[in-house]
Amino acid sequence: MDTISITVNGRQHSVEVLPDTPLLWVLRDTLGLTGTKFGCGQALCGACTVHVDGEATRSCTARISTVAGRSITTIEGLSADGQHPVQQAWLADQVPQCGYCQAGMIMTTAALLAKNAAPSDADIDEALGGHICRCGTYQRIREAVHKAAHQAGAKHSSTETAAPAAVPAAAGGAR
Amino acid sequence: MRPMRTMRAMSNASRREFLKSSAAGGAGLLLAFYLPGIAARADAAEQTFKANSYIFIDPQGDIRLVVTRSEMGQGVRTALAMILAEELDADWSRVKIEQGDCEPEYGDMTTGGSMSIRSTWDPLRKAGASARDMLLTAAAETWGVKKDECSASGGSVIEHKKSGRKASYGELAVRAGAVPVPKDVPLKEAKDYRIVGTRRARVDGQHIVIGEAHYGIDTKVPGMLYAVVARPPVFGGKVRKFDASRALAVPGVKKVFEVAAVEMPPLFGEERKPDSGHQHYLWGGVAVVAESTWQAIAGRRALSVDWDNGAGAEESTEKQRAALAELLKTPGKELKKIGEPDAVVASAAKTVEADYETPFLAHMTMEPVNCTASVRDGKCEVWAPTQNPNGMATALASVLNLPQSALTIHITLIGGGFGRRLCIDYGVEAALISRSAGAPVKVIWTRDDDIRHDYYRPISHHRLRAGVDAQGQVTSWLHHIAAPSTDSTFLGGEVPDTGGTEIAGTGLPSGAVPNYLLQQSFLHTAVPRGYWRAVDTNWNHFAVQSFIDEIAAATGKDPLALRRQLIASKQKPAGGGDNEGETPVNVDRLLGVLNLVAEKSGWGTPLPAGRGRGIAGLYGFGSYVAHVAEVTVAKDGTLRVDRVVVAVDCGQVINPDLVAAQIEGGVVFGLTSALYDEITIQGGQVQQSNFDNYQMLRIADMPRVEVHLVPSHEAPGGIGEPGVPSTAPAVANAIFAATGKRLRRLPFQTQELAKS
Repeated sequence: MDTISITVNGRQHSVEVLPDTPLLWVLRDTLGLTGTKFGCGQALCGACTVHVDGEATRSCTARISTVAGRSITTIEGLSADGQHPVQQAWLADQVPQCGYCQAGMIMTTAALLAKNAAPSDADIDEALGGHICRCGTYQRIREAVHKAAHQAGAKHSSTETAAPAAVPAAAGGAR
Repeated sequence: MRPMRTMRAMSNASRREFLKSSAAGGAGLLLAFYLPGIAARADAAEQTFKANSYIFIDPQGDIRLVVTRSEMGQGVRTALAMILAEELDADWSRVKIEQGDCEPEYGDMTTGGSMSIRSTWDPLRKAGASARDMLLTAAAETWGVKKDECSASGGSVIEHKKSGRKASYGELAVRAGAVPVPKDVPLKEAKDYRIVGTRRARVDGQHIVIGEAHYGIDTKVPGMLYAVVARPPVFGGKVRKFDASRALAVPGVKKVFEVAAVEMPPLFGEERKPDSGHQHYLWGGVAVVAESTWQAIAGRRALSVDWDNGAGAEESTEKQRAALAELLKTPGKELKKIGEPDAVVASAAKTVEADYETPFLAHMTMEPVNCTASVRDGKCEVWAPTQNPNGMATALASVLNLPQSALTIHITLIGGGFGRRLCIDYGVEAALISRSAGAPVKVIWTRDDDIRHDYYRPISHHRLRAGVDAQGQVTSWLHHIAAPSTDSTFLGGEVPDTGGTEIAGTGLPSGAVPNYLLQQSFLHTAVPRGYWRAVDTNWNHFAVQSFIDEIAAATGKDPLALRRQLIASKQKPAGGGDNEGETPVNVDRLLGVLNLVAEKSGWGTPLPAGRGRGIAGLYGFGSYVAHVAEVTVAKDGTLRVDRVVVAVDCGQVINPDLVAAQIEGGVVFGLTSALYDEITIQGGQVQQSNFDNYQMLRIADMPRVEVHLVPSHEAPGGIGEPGVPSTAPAVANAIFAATGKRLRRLPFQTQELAKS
C-alpha cells in the first residue's frame, strides 16, 4: 500500500491504496465520488471519464500513481449545481435515459468545447467515438453538444442569462 | 391496510421524522391506496387492479408520490408520477417522487414486458382521483358548502368559486385524513388532461447530469466490504478445489471462500415440475472479499481455482448451429395449425422458402451487474438494481431459509436493465456472500463477469415456406423455429418461444393466411437463456418480417402493398392480444402505422443507386409500431444506415418525449443486434469478454431517427420494447432494396454485399 496525494475538484486528498489502483476506484471507493462510473475497466466505453489537467481521461485505466499531484475534475466538480452549459444542454434536450454513461459523455464534451468552441459533427464523432450509450441516446447527445457550444458562445458574447430549458420544470425526483 | 409499514418504503430521513410526529399527533393526510387484487401476484387477470402507488400530503404542503416500478432509463418515475399527479390535480412542479421498496402491499412490482404503464394506468388514476375527492370533501366540510361547488384546478389547491375561498392541499391534509376512502370516483376525460400527454422533463435528470443519481453500484452502507467472484468459466461447471493463499496475501483482502451453486426458484412465482431439467442454479464459485473493489479484483487475480467443467465443455457455436439446422429437418412441436398448410403449399402456383438465423446475445447494461447485501441476525437487507424485486424476495427467502418478513429490498436506480435484471442470481449471490463474510458486502461484476454469466437471448434458426396462388394471394404459411427454449431455463421442459408473436394471433401473417403452421424444435444446451428487450419478437420477427418481403419480391409486389393485402385479409383473431385480457390486435391500427411511416419516409420515391428503403411493422406489447430504414451499401459491401423513420400508435401517450426516447433507443438496440452482436461459445465458454469484442453502435454510426406518434386516447400500450423488433428486418429489407441481396443471418454478414 502506498500513500498518494491527489487533487480532486480543487481539494487535496491523501489516500492509502495499492499503487496500481486505477483512479476510478480511488474516486468511488476511497473518496465516495460515485458520479464517475465503472463500465468496462479497459477504457472501451468512456463511462469513467474525468478531467486530468483539463484532458478527458479514462479513470478506469489511469493508475493512481500517474495522476499524483495533478488536477482532477469529476462530474461532481464540473460546475456548481449543474450550471455548466453542457449539463444545461443535456437537460434541455432531455438526453439521459438510464443516465449511467452520461457523466462520461458530459466530461468529454466539456473538454471538447474547452478546446473547440464550435465542433462539427465529425469533431463530435471523434471526441465521443470512444463512448458507449446502451440506451441509444446518441442523436440527442449530438444535438446537445451543438446546443452547449451555442450557449457557451452566447454566454461569452452577452451578459444575458441562458435561455430556459425547453421543457417544463421537473418535479423533485428520487435519487 | 398497514399504512405505517409503507413508510419504510421512504428512504428519506425527514419523512421518517414526519411520520413519527404524525403518528404521535395524528396530523397529516396519509393516503395509502389498496385497490383489489394485490394479494394474488401470480394472477395475471388481476394485474390492472393492483394497488402499487401512494400519495402523501403533509400539512406543509409537500406532496410525495411513490413509484413502485424500477427506473432503468424508460422514465417510469416520471410517467407513473404524472398519472398520479394528473388525477390528483397536483402542482407538477412541486411534487416529490420517491422510489418504493419491495413491500407486500405494493403487489407485483416487476418491471418488464413493457407493462409498467399498462399495469398501473387504472390503479394510479383511481388512486389520484380518490385523493382529490377526499380533499374536495375536506374542503366542503371545512367551509360548510356543497362538495360539488368545490373544484380542483391543477395547482394543489381546492377552491369554492362562489365564495372565493381557496385552500391548499397542505391546509386540507389533516381534515382529509379523516375522510373515508371513497368508492368509484370518476376519472377525468382525456380532454381535461393537463399533465398526461404533455412533454415533461425527467424527474431525475438533474441528479443524473450532476453525478448525484445513485445507482445500485453506488451503494455504500456502514461497515461494507467489497467482493468479486470467480465463477465457473463453463456453464454448469463447479469448483473442484482452490488455493486462496496468494489472494489472501493481497493487502485489504479479508476472506476467500466458496459460494455454493444452489438451486433457485422460478422468477415469477410459477410452479416448476421436479426434475424437469431446469437450469436455474446460482453460478457458484469462489468469492474474494476485501476492503475495496480494486483489492478484491487484485485478490481474484491471485486466486487459483481448479474447475470441474462438466458436460457443458463439449458445446460450441459451430455444434449448436449444426444441431439447429438438423432440427429443422424433422417436424417440431406443433404450436398452431390452421387448415392444410402442407397440402396447400405443395400444390401452390408459386412457393417461396427461406431459412433465417439469429445468435445468442448478451444484455450488456452499462451498469454492470452488482448488488449490495447485509445478512445478519436472521435478517436480510439488500440494495438491488432489480427489475424483479418480488422474484428476488422469493429466492432470498428460499435460499436463506428466512421468512419474507425478515427481508428488506431497496430498489435502486438502474443503469440499464433490458431484461437482465429480471433474473435474481446476483441478489442471492450477494446475500450468501454477506452471510459468509459476516458483514454487508457489495458484489461487483466486472465486465467480463457480466458478459460471460448472463442469461442470453436464445440462438435460433427458422425455416419459412409460403404458397402463393395464381392471383397472388398467400394461401399457406409454414414457420418452423429451432431454438433452445427461454422459459425452460427457469421452468424446465420445452416451453415455446412464441408467446408474444404469432401464436397469440397478434402478428402477421397469423389470421391473414388460410392455411398456417407454426412449430418449434428445441435445442438442449447448458447456455442459460433469459429475457432480452422485446423477448421472442426480436428474433421471430426478424424472420417473419424479412420473409414477407421475400414473398413480395418473388411475386413482384411492393413490400408495403403486400402487407396491406395481408392486413385486408386478416381475420379478427379468436384469442386476445399478447397478454391475457388485452384487446385483440386491431388491424386498422396496424395499417395506420404502416401508412403513416410510408408517408413520412417518402416510401416509393426514388433513391440513388446503392441506396434502399425497407419496411417492417408489427403489433407487440400493446402497441403498433412500423419502421422504414434507409440504407446505403457501398461497392465494397460497407453498410450504412442513414435514416430510420418510425410510426407509433401506443394509445394514450403519457409523455411524448419519453415515448420518442424509447423508440430512438429501441432503434439503436435493434441496430446493434443487426450489425454487430453475437455471443459465441467455444469449449462451453463465452468467447466475448468486453466492448472490444462485443461491439455497440457508437455515435458516428447513429442514423437519423424520426418518431411519429399517432394521436390516440385508446388505453396506453407498452413502449420500452416495441421500438426494437421491426428494426433489424426493416434494415434487411432495405439492404435487399439497395442491392438485390438478401441477408438472412444476424448479425448481418456484410461481406456478402461486396460486389465482385
